[in-house]
Formats: sequence, structure tokens, C-alpha cells
Amino acid sequence: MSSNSQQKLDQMVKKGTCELAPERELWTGIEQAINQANNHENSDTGNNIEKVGKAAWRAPTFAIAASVFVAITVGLFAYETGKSVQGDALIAAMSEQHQNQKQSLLIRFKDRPAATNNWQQQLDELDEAAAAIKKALEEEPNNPALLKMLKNVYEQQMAIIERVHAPTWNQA
Amino acid sequence: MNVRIQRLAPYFCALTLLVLSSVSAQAKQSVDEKMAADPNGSVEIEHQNGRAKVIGWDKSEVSVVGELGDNTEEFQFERNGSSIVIHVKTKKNRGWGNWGSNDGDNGDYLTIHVPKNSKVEYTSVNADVDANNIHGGLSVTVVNGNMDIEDLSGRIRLQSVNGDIDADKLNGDLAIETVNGDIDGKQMNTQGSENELKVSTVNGDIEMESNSTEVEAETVNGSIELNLQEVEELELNTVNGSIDVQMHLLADGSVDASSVGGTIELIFQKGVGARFDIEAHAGGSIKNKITDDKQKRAEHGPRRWLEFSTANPTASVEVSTVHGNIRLNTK
Repeated sequence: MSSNSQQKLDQMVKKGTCELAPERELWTGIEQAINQANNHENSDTGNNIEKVGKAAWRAPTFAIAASVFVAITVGLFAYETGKSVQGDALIAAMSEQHQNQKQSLLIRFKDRPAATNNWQQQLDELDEAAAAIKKALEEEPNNPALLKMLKNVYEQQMAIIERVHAPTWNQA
Repeated sequence: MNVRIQRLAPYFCALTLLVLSSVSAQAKQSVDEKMAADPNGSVEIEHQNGRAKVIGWDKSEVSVVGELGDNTEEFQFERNGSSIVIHVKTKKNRGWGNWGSNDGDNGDYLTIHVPKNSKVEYTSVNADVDANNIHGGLSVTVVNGNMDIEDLSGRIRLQSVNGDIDADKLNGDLAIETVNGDIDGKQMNTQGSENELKVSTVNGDIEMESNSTEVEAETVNGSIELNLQEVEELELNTVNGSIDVQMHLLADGSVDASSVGGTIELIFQKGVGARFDIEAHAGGSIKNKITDDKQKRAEHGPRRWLEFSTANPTASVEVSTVHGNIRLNTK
């Protein structure tokens, strides 16, 4: 991300959560990018099957927050470059923002007890899964099914962190 | 001095007995209360440990009978309009701070009757919960407790971290989630009711029977076995777990499944009319027993794919894996 877009993102963060919310539905930016990638792939292969990304039904607070940040990042990137985000740039933006958001969540919960003792192993396994997906994306950088899989793995990581730290009970 | 102690000894004994009996009485506090309730109202139940049975009945009242745990600080049983709250508050710093321990307190043993059309929301940390004959919807959230759920209607949400969930005779919009717990359930929707099913686990195993036409299921490492009837929309996601689904895919139905390294096996009705688009991006295998079509391999690289259609292909089946195994069959 350029320093200019980082500044814009910082400014938006400073303005507060309400103003951070995207004007359009969450994941619209990502899904547009995925759909564009899909259209691109369809034109390459002549495959007319329409594949539309769909947000996971299980979307805890921080998974949604992560989505907002990724959508903002992708939106800013597109704004800066004047073209849609695809391929390596999209994957890099998704990964960077996910890592930032994951670290924020881990810091937030660091003093809270976890309900399971295998959650970190689960995160590691999901990291390995994300690495396998990204390796496949190196060969097919605009493949919508792989992009959707990566998004799903990231959402699952956030959901696990949030669920095993059970904030509902911890706030009691 | 010795004489003085001897004289006081009986008083010390009596005092000790008094204190002990007082503690014992406090530890074994019974509860037997009832309250008039809106037959279509809501009941919110929250406690930490023990066991709760929540049963719907025909009366317009809520009743709580049982025993409260040693660490109980306050038993709250209140009504606010059409909403009733049952909350067992425990002493601070107990309960949630150590998920697996309850400091020797076996918790509360409660039997709670509610009007059967109530909407019930139940939350606990380590308690097991049984619920049956509730038809205004149910939400259960536990960390370590097990659930035994039967004969429910409405919007049903069951969420556990480590506990197992056993659910039968469910009718309505159903979502079940666990992290490590297993799910064994049966959803039989009546005509005209909401008919969605969503199941999710990280490491747990799921076995579900359902007649929902819209189904979503996901797992990280666990196994999912779904026995479905007529399916209009099915979405499946696994990372490294296995998914095994039997279904009757409707003419305009769609299946969208993905796996990183896990195995997906889809079994359709004989004569299924669909267009199949299967991709394995970085290895794995695609085995098709519906037609004679075989997977194709890229000249360079590990990519494999299989595209084919059966007669009258109005439905669609799309499956994508990184390096998992895909199996297609009919029955």
C-alpha cells in the first residue's frame, strides 16, 4: 500500500468506526474483485458458469471488522491506481489486512482465558491452509474459487479466536 | 486455665456446629418458585455450572425447581412485561476464569418449565442442558456443557465450544455451531415452516439428517455427514476435514463446495440432471461414478478438472479443491 493510501486509511480510522463503515454492503469490494476475476477467467476459458462469492453465514464481530478493513484497503488501492484490484495485489491486500486484524484481536484477548487448549494449533493449521491456497493462487491468481477459499480461511481464523475467548462470559 | 477451657468447650462445640449447619444450609439452597407468564413471551436463563432441564408445558407460568450451587450469590427470578429472567449469579472470580473447574461446586440442578410457545434463551459455562417441547424458538450457548435437545420449533440456535450437541425433532430455521464438540441431529421441518440448516464445526464431527432445502455446512478438521432430502441450495466448506452428503438435487438446485485438503463426497439421486464443474488446483483427485467422464490433467503443473453434464442439466454442481479428493456418485 502506498504511503498516501495508508495516510487516508489512518485518517479514516481516526474519524471513528461509524465513518469507517463502507457505504456499500460489506465485502462488496472484495466480491466485486472476485467477480471481476471470475469474469476475467470466464473470458479466458469460455466457461459461462457464473460463480458469485457469498459471505459466510458465521460472521462474528471481528470477522466482519476484518472484512471492513480489507474492503477499505481494496477500495483505496483501486482509488489510488484507478483500476480494479486483481491477482497478486488483491491477495497481498487481503493477507496484509488479515494479519493486522488478527494481531489486533490476539492483543485484545491476550489476558483472557481461552475455552480450549488447541486453538493456537487450529490457527497454525489454518495458516498452513492459507499458504496452500496462496501457492495455488500463484498459478491461477484470479481464480474466484481460490480467492473465496482464502477469504473463508481468514474468516475462520478470526471466528476461532473470538469464539474460544468467549467475550460474552468474559464480560460477565 | 485448663478449667476455664473445659468450661468453654461445650460452647465452642455448639458454635462450631451452628456455623457448619449454616454453611451447609447455604450450600444446599433449594429453589421452588413459579410466576405467571405470557404464553408467547420470552424466558432468559443464565447460570454457570451444573445441569438444567428446560421443558415446555401448557400452563401460562414459569416454574423453577431444584437446588442452587455452593457458590450462588443471588438467585434472580423476575418478570419485565412479557419477558422473564432467571439468573443464578455466582461469587465473583468463579466460573468463567477457569473453564474446566468450578472450585468443587457441582453447580445448580434446575428444572425449569416454561409455556411451550415461549422463546427461550439459555446461557451457561459448564452446565449440561436438556430442552424439549419448546415451540417459540430456542437459543443455547454453552462452553463445556453438553446439550440434549428435542422437539423444538421456531428459530433454533445452538452454540457450544467443547460440548457435544444431540438434537432431535427440530422444526424451523436451524443453526448449530461447535469448536470441538460433536453434533448429532435430526431436523424434520413441517410444510410451510422455515427450512434452513446451517452447521459449523472446527474439530467436531457432525452427523445430521434434514429435509431443509437450503443447507450450509463447514468444518476445519472435523467430519460432516449430511443425509438430506430435496435440496435447492447447498454450500459446503472444509479446510482439511471430510464432507459426505447424500441428497436429491432439485431441478433448479445448486451445490457449491470447496475444500483445501479435505475430501468431499457427494451422492445424488439416480438420474440427477446437472452440469458439473469440478476443479482440483494443486493435486488431489476427482473420481466420477455418475458418468464415464474422467478427470483431465494440465500438461504442466498439478491442476486437474472435470466438466460434464447429465441429461437435462438444469441444476449446477461446482466443487473446488486445492489438493483434496472429490468423489461423485449416485444412489
